Amino acid sequence: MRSTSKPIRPSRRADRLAKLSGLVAGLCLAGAAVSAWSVPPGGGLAGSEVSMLANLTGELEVSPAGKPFLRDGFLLPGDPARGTLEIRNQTPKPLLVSLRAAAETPDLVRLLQVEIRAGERLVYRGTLAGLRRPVRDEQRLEVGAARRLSVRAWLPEGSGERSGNRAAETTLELLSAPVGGRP
Amino acid sequence: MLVSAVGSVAAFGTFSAFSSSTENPGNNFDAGTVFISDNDAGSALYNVTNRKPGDFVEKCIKVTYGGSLASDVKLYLPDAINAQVGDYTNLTITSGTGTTAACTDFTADATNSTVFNGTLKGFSTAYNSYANGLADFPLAKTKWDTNDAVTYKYRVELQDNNTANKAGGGTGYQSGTHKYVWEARNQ
Repeated sequence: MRSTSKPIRPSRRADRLAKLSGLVAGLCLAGAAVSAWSVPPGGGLAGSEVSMLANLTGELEVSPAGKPFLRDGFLLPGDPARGTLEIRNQTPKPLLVSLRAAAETPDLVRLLQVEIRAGERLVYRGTLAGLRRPVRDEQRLEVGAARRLSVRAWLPEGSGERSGNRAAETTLELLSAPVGGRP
Repeated sequence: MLVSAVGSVAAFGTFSAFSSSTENPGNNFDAGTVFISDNDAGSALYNVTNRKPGDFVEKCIKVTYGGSLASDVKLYLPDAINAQVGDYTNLTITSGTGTTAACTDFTADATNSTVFNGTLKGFSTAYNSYANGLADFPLAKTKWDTNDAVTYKYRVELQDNNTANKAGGGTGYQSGTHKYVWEARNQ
């Protein structure tokens, strides 16, 4: 008895199904690979580094001098840093005092908000960039008199993505002029 | 399926080519500063007339260095001094601490406090420019750093010497208006 065998031919429908399955599997594999290679989103907060210092001038005694009077190594939006600075007129004439910020690191100058008060009196409120131009304290500083300046610096709410891991190292320059001008 | 798998492997192979790089980040180039100022607010240390022998003026001036660069500071008097007064006017400059122009809180340095002791004319002859200026430093230092300050006490006294007495009377000899300059230059 002779036996015969026929090759099994997949039907056209089964062929299409196999190709489609392969395509889907390939796409899944590629998607998984891309997903595995991508950097996971960070959920942590990135703070900013902010410091301000003032130096002595010939006409104004400054305390503290040459070291930061305001410092925050991890400033977060909505959580202000504070510091105080005392200046004293050491000239024989009343002085008008102006303040100007010289930002050593320009990262945050347009973002960082600064408020300076002499007691309750507001001297300046605005961005650090705005303080690059001298701001005058309109109240004169009498001979030998001291004035305490309170400085507050903060980042606006919602600015975390723009401000994180950035720095603002600022020298607050003290400028003075005798009332009535110099001879 | 086979085609997809081969494609995936081929794609993986494309992304895994050898690569290497190196970088030099964070470059920046900032300038330093040289800045010196005083507490006179534009007022002269002394401006007196009609002095008699033995009369003197004592005034203080505080000089502060606010620059970021270490500096030398020299004191000089660039203006001409009339010898008829200048030769007979004693000038003593003492270094120390204090802030008042009237020297009420002046304390001389414990050592080497005499910066100059001679006549006004002698000072102007010896020290009239930065090149020949009188170098002075805070205490035992050899440079001025940020926030260094020195207060100088000036004592100016008319000698009891009749040569300074102008013959014929009237207005006496005048020294001529002069200024003292503290000039800082970075080291």
